[in-house]
Amino acid sequence: MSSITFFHYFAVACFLFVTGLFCILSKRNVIAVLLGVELVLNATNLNLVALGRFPGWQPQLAHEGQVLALFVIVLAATEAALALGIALCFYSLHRAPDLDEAQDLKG
Amino acid sequence: MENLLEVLLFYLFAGVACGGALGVALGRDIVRCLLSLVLTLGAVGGLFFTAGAALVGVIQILLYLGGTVVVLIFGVMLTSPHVQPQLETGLKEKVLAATVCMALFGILMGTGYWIFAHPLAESGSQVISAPAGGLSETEAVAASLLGLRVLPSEETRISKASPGFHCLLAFEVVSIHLLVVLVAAAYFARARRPRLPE
Repeated sequence: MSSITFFHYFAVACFLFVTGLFCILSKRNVIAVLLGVELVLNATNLNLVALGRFPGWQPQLAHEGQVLALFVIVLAATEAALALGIALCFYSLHRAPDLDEAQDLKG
Repeated sequence: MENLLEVLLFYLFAGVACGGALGVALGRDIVRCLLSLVLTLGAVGGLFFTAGAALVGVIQILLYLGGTVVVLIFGVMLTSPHVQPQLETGLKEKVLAATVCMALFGILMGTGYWIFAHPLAESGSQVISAPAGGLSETEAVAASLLGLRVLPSEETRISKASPGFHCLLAFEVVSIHLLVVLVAAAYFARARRPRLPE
């Protein structure tokens, strides 16, 4: 059985990214779109951490990849909190978490 | 034997992560989507452990599974799930989104194979298994956070060699940002009277 290379991690991260993108594009519920954003951020994190494990490609990313992953995790937490605040505000105005109704700012 | 265990753990976590991601993308019920996301986040945390990043894995489980997911659960609870069945996109949009996503997946995997897994590029894929300079992995990450570069050689354990990556100020900015964003979220989510229809 062959050992794990960076390409294995990269493939998993690509799959997570693409499913997250599909989730963002194909859902109408605000919360479901947020779930897709979380998937995309996790794919990014997986790539950053795996680059630290196999640093032959980017030697300067040996441990900085993990530091960047920590920043991404914190920013994902803030993004979820703020987006949910906006979603609740939107829900109290429209009585449904439906993105297609978000047309108040349409020119 | 250790290598076999690592490979098996990687495939287990990768399979759970990909299955959970499919569950998030294809599920119709928002609660099931959320539970699939919990599965995916846990499996990604496991992948961090197999990649040797124990600190990031622990923080992933603490912050994501303990914090972000709870916030999302409250979001689902507060935006009344009984309207969910009407919130379906049309078949046309789904086919379009699937086409775009599969094309992007093909492009990414093709590029990644050419760069990372091509036989010509094998020379760059050596693994750092032992932490550098006699430090533990977490200490090395902390040194990186302070802008210090950990060198593999024993005599120069830590040297200040990465002037472009000094992120202590950024760390403080992110902390203040977290506080400000939480206050803003509490302001946005405050109870208010619904607007009456005209």
